[in-house]
Amino acid sequence: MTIDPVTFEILSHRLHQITLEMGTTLERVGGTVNTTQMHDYMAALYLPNGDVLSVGESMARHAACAGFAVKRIKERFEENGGIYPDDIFLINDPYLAAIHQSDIYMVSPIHYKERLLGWSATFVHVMDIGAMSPGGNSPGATEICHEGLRIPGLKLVDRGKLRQDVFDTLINMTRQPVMVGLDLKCEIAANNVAKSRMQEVVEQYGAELITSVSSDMIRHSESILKARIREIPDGVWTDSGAIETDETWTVVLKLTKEGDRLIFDFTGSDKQARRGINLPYHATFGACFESVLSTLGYDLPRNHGAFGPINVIAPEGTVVNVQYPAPVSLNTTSGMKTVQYLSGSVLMQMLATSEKWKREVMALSLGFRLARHAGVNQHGRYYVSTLLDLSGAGATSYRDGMNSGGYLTAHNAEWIESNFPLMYLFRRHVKDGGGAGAFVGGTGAEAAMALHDAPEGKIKLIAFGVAGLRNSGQGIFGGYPAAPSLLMLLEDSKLANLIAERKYPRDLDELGGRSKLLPYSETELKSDDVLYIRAASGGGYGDPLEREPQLVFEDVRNGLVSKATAEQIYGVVIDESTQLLDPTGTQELRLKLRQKRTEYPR
Amino acid sequence: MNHPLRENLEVYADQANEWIRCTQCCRFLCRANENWRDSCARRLSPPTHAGPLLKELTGHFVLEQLCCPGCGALFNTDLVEEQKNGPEERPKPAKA
Repeated sequence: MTIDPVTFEILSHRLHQITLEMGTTLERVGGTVNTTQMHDYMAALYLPNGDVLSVGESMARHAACAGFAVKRIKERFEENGGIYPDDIFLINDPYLAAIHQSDIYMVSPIHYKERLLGWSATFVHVMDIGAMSPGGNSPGATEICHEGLRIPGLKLVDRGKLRQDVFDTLINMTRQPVMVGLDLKCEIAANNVAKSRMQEVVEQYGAELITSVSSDMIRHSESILKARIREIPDGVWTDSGAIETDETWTVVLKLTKEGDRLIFDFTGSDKQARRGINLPYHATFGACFESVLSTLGYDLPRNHGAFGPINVIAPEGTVVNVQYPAPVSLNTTSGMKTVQYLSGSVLMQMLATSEKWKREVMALSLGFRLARHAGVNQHGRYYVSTLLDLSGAGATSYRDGMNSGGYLTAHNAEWIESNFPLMYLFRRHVKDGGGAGAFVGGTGAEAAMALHDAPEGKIKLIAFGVAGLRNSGQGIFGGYPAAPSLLMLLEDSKLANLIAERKYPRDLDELGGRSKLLPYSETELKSDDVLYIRAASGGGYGDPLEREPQLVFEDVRNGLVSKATAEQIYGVVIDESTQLLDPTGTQELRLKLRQKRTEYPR
Repeated sequence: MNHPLRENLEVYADQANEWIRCTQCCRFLCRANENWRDSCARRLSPPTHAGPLLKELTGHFVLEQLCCPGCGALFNTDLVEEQKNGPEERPKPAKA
């Protein structure tokens, strides 16, 4: 069928709009902070065979995985149980389709007059999954059976009717049945929205036209993406990264670019770990898919077309292709973060070799630390939730990284305080956080909090995320690394005394106490303790000595860069008497610092 | 074929060979099939030279900077492990 370009654009955007409305539905109907505030979800549409048709403004790696989910559900139910209009299926088995069990996928066939048009799929990260640790991320787990419910596929909605017995059984096996129930229902709602909207489009335009546009959207993305890849010189680029638990696990990646093919080869990565940092193959593939989309295809319809040029090699039994029964519950913020960083890093090195594409180079981040917290809240109810803060985005070849603009989003502080027994002492941007460079990395946030009105005088903390010290935005092409993400516990602080004296602590130094960095662990936050969270800042791009001095001066004035850093790293002199930029002194200092570099040993 | 390699570095082809050179001073560092990192002026310093908030890395990582020995243009800044995996043992790019 021939489709005119205007109709193609209208329908292509209409399908995309459906996925956006699905995302809004998840946020409005969902219950937990991950879904309603942190955008930890995915909504997408699929062809009848499970190929990705349209990904909303949500995590593309999950859209790739949900394509596997659709295929697994088809295999399981087509011959056994049947697939009918208005069915909705649930699957969270990491060995089949999900990344870890907390990410529950729901997939739903979309029919029009009994004809299968395609599928919709969503995921949200539920706040408990019955694992050994509250919240599902279990630092102590050494096998998948420690990590909660693992469902290879079940029918939750049968021809439009919720199977209440199944629903009740699922939520009954978690620590937070009400919240998990809300999150399951928001997925049902989003899939119902997808079905209604798709049926409306087909009613208006006809099934044949929609089917043709869907195929054309995928061909369009694939052909443009391949043409872009061909514009870049062939080559091979490598990088490696480490994940630290009680041992260190290394991931290595070699990208080979040949013609219009991109081969991501993880051969040489460590064997699968005894801790839950491991990624299933589809997750490793999803990370590469997402990296390609965000570098070379950010302006294209996000769909299966991006699968075309990609080949991912991940040997079985390694940290990037886990086999039963190794654990996975920590992987989205460890193995995944590392693979995302590495796949992005080799693509950035590749882009830099193209005159046309080098402008798109961006500094990437290896940093992410967060905590679950669980206990009895000030309203007398048991709860599980998330604590994290906003990281800074990496700098690019033409602009500074966005402050607080990095990975995910974060919760609202007042919302945390009104729902959980916690009190914020401060929450702000860190000084000297962003990686220095001609373009500086975005600054991350830091926060300190203490217990307040906790009926049991303590709550549980589960610390996870990319552990290890190299845990920040990494600079690129001379740009400096940024301040790392930290989770720190101050035990037996002087907070109570300070408050009694009506003094308000503004820095950790004022709080006293014993500080300890939290590795992957379960611990407690008690009455005199303070939890400090620092989100990673973004890495810098290029040589700090080439940054416009006036911009450095403004960073100092805005409290983001100290005078010492301005002078020592950027070679920018601020006159002590006038507190103004000293252009002559700056020029002289920069010449001196640059000359000094030529004297470094070879 | 001439093409950029990264900020301040490019692959330059003359009639017989391909070279990697500094774009700021045109100094030739090595042939294109060799590792340009080996031809750089190199400085190892404490991680806090990248900023005071990197103090927790002291004793575990060092800051490695690779510069043009001719003009001081900065090519790369990286954190490398101080003890078991020094800069000499780091994986090197397969090309350039």
